[in-house]
Amino acid sequence: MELNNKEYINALLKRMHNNDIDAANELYETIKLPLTSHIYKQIHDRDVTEDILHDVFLILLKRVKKTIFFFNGFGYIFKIAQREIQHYYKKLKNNNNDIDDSEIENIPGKKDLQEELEFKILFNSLSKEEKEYVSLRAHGFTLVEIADKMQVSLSTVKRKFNTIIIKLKRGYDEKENN
Amino acid sequence: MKKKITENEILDKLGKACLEMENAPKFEDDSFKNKYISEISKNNARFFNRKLIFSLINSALALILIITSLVLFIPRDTKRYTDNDDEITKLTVTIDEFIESVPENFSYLIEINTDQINRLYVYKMQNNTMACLINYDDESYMFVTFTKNFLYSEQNLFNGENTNNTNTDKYNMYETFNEVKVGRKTYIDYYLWIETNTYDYYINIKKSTTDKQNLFKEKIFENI
Repeated sequence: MELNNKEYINALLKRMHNNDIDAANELYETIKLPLTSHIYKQIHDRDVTEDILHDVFLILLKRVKKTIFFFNGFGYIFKIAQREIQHYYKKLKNNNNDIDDSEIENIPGKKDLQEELEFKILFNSLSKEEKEYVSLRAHGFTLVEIADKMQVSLSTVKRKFNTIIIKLKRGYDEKENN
Repeated sequence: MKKKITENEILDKLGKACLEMENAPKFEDDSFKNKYISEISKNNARFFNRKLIFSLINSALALILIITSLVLFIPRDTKRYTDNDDEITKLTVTIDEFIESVPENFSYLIEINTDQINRLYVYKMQNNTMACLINYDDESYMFVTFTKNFLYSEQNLFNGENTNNTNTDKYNMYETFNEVKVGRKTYIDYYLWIETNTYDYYINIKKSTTDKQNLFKEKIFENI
């Protein structure tokens, strides 16, 4: 999957519309972790996150039967998730007046959140080895240290990152142009 | 022009996504996934049932459409003789040809288009004689025979009265043919109009082989 994963998710939703179990399974595996992280980041509660995650999948399943055209499947999923999160906060505020609006305001902007979720889905689509390289870099390791940890040469590490970047950048540029 | 994302930015964003996902809770329990997948299976079953019902409805509709088309569009000649019909042509002497055209031992159902006579049944008799059984109403029948000399005799089968007439000047015959198409088959609809001293017979001959006619045929031969 490339950075521009719109077509990929659209195709999965279209197949799900035709009751393709494999597509449902694939979509579940592709977005479960990114979506969990996305929701947890805004909710900060493990149980509620799980509830919302399940709700998102069930709503998606219900709606996917009624929709024929999927122009932006990723945006579709993102909207459902955001709506459920907002719904949770509204319910919480109605039950408890002490809740401060700042909790909701602290949530990053919609565009940032959407991009973050997109990168999470992309990260999840990387191979296990690629994920390890990205993870080490994210934890602050230098390329030399990564080469040492992975027991490969420095040039191999550089080539690995290059492959990941080229793959993702091409998709990202296409998305920006669209 | 939009600013293009740099390599480092991609790796940073990926790294951030990676860290957030590492910190997110892990739900390893597959019970929800099974439920979610089973929903799709249920949808599949429902979809199959719906598809089956739709296909049945479609088949029924198609059948109704075909039947309606057959009823409405198959050309059927319903043209009947009327007094003003120009297509009726006067025959000179064609009674012999007509009698010749009737197959041996074959009966025809003849419908007569007059007020007085309900039906007339024509049979080819021996000696090139055409016999007609005339049904005036449900209960009385008249038996008429025509010969090639236009002599005819009428016999009431119920009261036994006989009328013999030899006045050939009065006998005029007219005929017309119509083609009747039913499906891919074509039938000949033969109209014969016989004027006698007593009655004018409008005769429409159609092929028929019902038992009822055989019964009449037996009666005719019994009375000859």
